[in-house]
This record gives sequence, C-alpha cells and structure tokens, in this order.
Amino acid sequence: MSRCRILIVDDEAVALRVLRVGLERGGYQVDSAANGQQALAAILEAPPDALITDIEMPMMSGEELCARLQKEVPERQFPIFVATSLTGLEHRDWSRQISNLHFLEKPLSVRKLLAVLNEFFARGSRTDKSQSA
Amino acid sequence: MGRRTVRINFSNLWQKEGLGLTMIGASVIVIALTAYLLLSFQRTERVDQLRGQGASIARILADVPFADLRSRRQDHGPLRMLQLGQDATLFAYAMVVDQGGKVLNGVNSSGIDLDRIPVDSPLGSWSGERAFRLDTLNRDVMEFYAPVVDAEDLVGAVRIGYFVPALGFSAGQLPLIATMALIIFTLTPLFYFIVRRETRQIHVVNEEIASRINSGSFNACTVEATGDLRDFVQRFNRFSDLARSRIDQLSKVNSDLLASQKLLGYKKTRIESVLTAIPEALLILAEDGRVSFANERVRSLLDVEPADIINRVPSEWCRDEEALEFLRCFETASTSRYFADTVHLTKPSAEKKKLTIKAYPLFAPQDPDTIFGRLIVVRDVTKESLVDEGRKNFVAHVCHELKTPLNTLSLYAEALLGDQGSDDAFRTEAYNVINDEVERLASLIDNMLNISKIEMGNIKVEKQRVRLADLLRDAYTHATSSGEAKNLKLTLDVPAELSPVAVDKELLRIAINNLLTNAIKYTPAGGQICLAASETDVAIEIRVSDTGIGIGPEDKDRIFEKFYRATGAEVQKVRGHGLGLALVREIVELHHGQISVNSDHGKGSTFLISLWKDSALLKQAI
Repeated sequence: MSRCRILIVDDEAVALRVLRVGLERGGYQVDSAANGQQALAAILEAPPDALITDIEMPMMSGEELCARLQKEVPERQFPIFVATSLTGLEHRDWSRQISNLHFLEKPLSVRKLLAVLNEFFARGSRTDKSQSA
Repeated sequence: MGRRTVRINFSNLWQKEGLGLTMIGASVIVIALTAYLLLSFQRTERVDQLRGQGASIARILADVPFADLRSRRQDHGPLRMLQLGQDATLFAYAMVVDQGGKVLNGVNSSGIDLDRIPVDSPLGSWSGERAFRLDTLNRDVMEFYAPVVDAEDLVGAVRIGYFVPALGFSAGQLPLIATMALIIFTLTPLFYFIVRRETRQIHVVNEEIASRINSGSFNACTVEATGDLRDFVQRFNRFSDLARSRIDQLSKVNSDLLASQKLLGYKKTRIESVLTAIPEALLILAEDGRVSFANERVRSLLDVEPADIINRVPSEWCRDEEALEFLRCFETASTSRYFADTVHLTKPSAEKKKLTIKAYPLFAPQDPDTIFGRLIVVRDVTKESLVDEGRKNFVAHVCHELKTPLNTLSLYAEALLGDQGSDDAFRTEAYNVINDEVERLASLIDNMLNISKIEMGNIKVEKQRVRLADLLRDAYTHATSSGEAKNLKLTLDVPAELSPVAVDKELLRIAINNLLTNAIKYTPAGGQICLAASETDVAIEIRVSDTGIGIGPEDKDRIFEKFYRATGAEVQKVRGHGLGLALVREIVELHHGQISVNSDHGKGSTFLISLWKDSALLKQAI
C-alpha cells in the first residue's frame, strides 16, 4: 500500500518544517504550502489524502480555502484538519457549511496528530475492506 | 420796550370759573328777559288804555253837533281841543268825514296826510275799531270811529287814530330797570358764593380722588367733609379698601399663576432640550399608533422630518421595511404587550447603519394596567457593533499571535523529547528556534503591554529635555549587532548637536528601536539602513530609511493599524505580529508629533518622525 499523502498549509516555516519531519517519520508523505492560494492550486492539481491547514494566513486564509474547496471540489473525499488558536466554537458559523472538517487546537502535537491521522486512515481502510467484502 | 401780549386761555378760564361765568350769563339773560316782560306788559297796558280812551272819545265827539264838528276854527274847535289834550307821542289824527269818506275837518300830528288815511268803505253806521299800518310812517295805527247824526240823519263819522305804542323803554323806565338789574346782580354773586362754598368740598374730594387715580394709589381719602359728602367719602374709602384687597388677592393669584407658568415653561423647555439632546431618536406613539412626539434625531436615524410624522401612523411614513414591520404592530389598539420589545436592523442605505429599536409601554399614572401609548427609542449602534467586532478580532489576533510561537515551541519540545532529540543538528536548530520564538513572544507581550497602557491612559509620559543625538546614537549602536548579523550596512547621520526637545526618553527609544528592527527584518542581506536626524525651524525630523522590500500602495494606509501586516509574500516570510508600527504611532502621538512613511515598493521605505519644537507647539496652542 502506498503511503498516504498529507498536505500541510502554514505560513510559519519553522512549524511547517517540524510537522513535516514528524509526519514523515510517522510514515506519511508530506507536501506543504505557505498559504491557502498555494494549497488550492496543489489540491486542484493532485488531491491529497488529508489536508492540515492553519487559519490565519496571508493571501488566502484557511477559512477561505475550505470554502473554495467546498465550492470548487464538491466531490472531495479527503478530510480537512484545521489547526486553530481558538476553539471550534468560534468557527461554528462558517464551518457548518463544510463537510468532513475537523478542528485541531493549537499548540499542535506531532504525536497526537499522528494518532488522529492513523486512527482516521485505519477507520477508512476498515470501511473500504467492509465495502469491498 | 416790547409790547406785552396778554393771552387769555379761555379753556382754563372756563374750567376754573365755569360756574361763575354761567351765573353771570344767566343773570344777564334773566335781567333781559325781565325787562322785556316788563316793557311788554307796559305796552299791553297802554294799548288797552288807548282802546278804552279812543272808543270813549269817538262816541263823545259823535254827540257834538255836526256843525261844530265841521267848523274849522283853529283855536278852540272840538277836534283841536281834543288834540291838545292827547299824548302827542301816540295821537295820530282826529277827523270828521262825510258819508262818502271825504274829510270835512281834522287835526293830525306831523307827517300825516289826512286825505291819505285809508278808509273802509262804506263806514259802518255803528261805532267801531280797526287797525292798519301806515306805510308812510311805517307805524301801526288803531282807529276808533263813531257815526255822526244830525237831525236824525246819518251825515258822517268821527275817526280818531292813535299810534300803537312800540316795544321799548324810555328814559323814565331806566331807574326801574336799573333797580331790578342791581337786585339781580347783587343776588347772583351771593348765590354764587353760597354754591361755591357748598361745592368746594366736592371739588377738594374730586381732586383728591383724581390724584389717587393718577398715582394708582388706594390710600384712604383724608378730606374733612360734612353732611352727605362725609358719608360719600367714608363709603368711597370703604369701596377703595375693598377694591385694594380684591386687587391684592388677584395680584397674588396672578403672580402665583405667572410663577407656575414660568416654572412649567422652564420644565417643558428643559424636558424638550433633554429629549432633543439625547443621542437616541425618540417617538411617542399614542394608543392608535399615531406619533404624538418625535425629537430631532428621528431625521438622521429614520430619514423623516419630525414635524411631518406628527399625528400619522408608522405605515404612513416609515420607509424602512424592518422598522415598519416592528412599529406596525402598535397601530392596533388590541396590542397589549406589557413588556419592552427590541428589534435590531441594518439600514439598507450606503452607510449600513445598525440600529436597535426598543418599544416601552407607557402606563397610565393612575392605572398601571392601562397602556396609553408607547415610547419608541431608536439607537444607532453602528459604533458599538464595530467596537464589538474589533474586540472580537483583537482577541482572535492576540490568541493567534500568542499561540503561533507556542505552537512552534511545543512542536520542537515534543520533537526534542522524541527520537529527534538525539540528533545534534536538530538539537541546535531547535535551540535556535526556541530562542527566536521566546524573543518573539517577549517582544509581542512587551509591545502589547505598552500599547495597552498607552491606550488605557495608564502610562505616564515623563517628558524631559534630552540630547536627542545621544539617544539616537544609542539606538543605532543597539541595532548594529542585529544588522551586521544579517549582513546589512547601517549608517548614522545625526548632527552632533540638535536642539534639545522634551520627550519621554524610554518611549522614544522604543519607537526608534521598533523602526530599526522593522528595517532590519524587511531588508534583504546586503541592503542598507540609515538612521538620520535633521532640524528645521519648527521641528526635529528623525528618518529611518532602508533599501528593503518596501510597502505596497494598498498597505500604506493601514500599516500603523494594530495587528495589520502587509499581504505581500515577502512580508509574510518574515515573522511579525503587526504591533510594532502601531506602538510607534501611539508613542509619536503621545508626543504630539507626526509619523509618515514614504515607500517605493520593492526598493525601500523611509519612516519620518517629526517632533515639534516647543516654540512651534506654543504657536499652535495660540
């Protein structure tokens, strides 16, 4: 089975680097983008297996990226994980419109993120197996 | 010597002596009337006397023999004798005529022609009397006639004429009339003085009353009077007292009313000015929803003229659909809401004003269960909602800015604790990142605290006269190490002496450091940074210029806003929290100075701080 491809979007280059290294060590293939605009272009070109994005970013914020994806890639299957400084409650209004969206509260932990991703993909593969069976 | 002119003011004379003059006039009239009556009576007496005398003489002469009557003897004929015995002033003529009226004999007073005396033809056979006017003498004549019989034949007639006495008086009557006039003239002043004595008191009382009327005084009339006049004065004084007390009462009532009216007017004005001055638009709706009061703010918040909506229901004047939907429910009397209602709405106009409309029931003072109308309060909450939005944004920014370095620290700490911790290269990288992030956090917190203190007014600006050149040189030295570490060329262009200005040294140092730090952060390696100062007549100008990435025109107006960071990719590569320039602006404004930026996008920026000299500030104040 090929490695799952994760797209990480963050304007903080240092954080991006640590996350990338951590996830790669966890067995994932990691692509990165510095803002929403870059991420959208990358997704339209090749959709990842999961998207992890910050919210406050220049050019295009995480919130706008999600809205654009919902509109431009309605058949999207991959999950979106949004890393936020606030709690999920503050984002309730806009996030209600977006499907398959999950919040990760900052500060992030590579260990926890790996656990979430592993859990998610394990569940996904079980579902696939049950569907194929 | 000039001629003295005596002018008599008849008006005054009549006013003062009217009674006396009237009495003199009346007495003259009485004298004239009495004299006339007397003379008239005397004339009547004389006429009666002549009538008797004439008839008798005519009959006597008729008995005289006809021949004697005809005799024209001059001396002692009967007619001549008769003439001599008569009053010459009244005797006109005496003559004997035949049956045809021809004068046979006669005597006459001068001026009378007997032949021209008119004759009634035929003369009667009886004695009689007639009167006629003698035109030649212009006098009235009474004629007496009697038939003359001779030998039982009627042969003629005797005619005797007398002048009718005229009305007039003779010298003989003068003593009588003079006596009568004297008596009347003597009695008149006497009567006048008696009347004057009696009316003097009335006059005095009248004068006294007139002076009180003129002065508006109600004091008692103190004139001494007797008889009926004393009663009059006493009653007048009682009436005056009554009128005075009544007027006093009315004056008191009137002044109370006036005071109440003024107080009410003052209260009304005060309430109206309060209602007009308050920033909310106020409407009072009657039970049927008609507007009974609207203040001036209605114009700007609901776009209607206050005077135009009085006595009209909202559906007739309200143009805003949301507001109308809310207000329309008060047009029906059946609405019996006992609680305040609120509606929030955004005006569809270009300003996008946000309004809240609240309706409070107005209860009748005597019956708290009855609602007689509603007070509608319309508030412009645009600013509040902007502030609220700003506060939410601020919290989000602060969270983000605090959690971002925390996030990095947390990720590196976690990595160090794991397998990567044993990798020397990673450890070095981690230590550097941790050091940078801690500095970033500290700087963020410092800037936030300083801004917060300045905005809250908690910071006390301690201005002192400082040598600005030294302060700038210190800031330059402080920045040199970071600049050189990034391979930047820093230069200082500050004159040895600058006019001393009163500034808060610590705050200004923070502002200059922030500008220099920004310049270093946003200038690529190999660039140049210059800290310069110069002096004009009115200000000292501090410039921080760099050859960095510059500021786009779209960002230029916003870079001094809190948490604002330019959107360009080059800016975003550099860590920052958008508070540095905001703090610089706050500090410069605390010094009543000015900050501006001049930038060529991609080529560099120059920040200019102008600090006004004391003399310029003084001029501005004047």
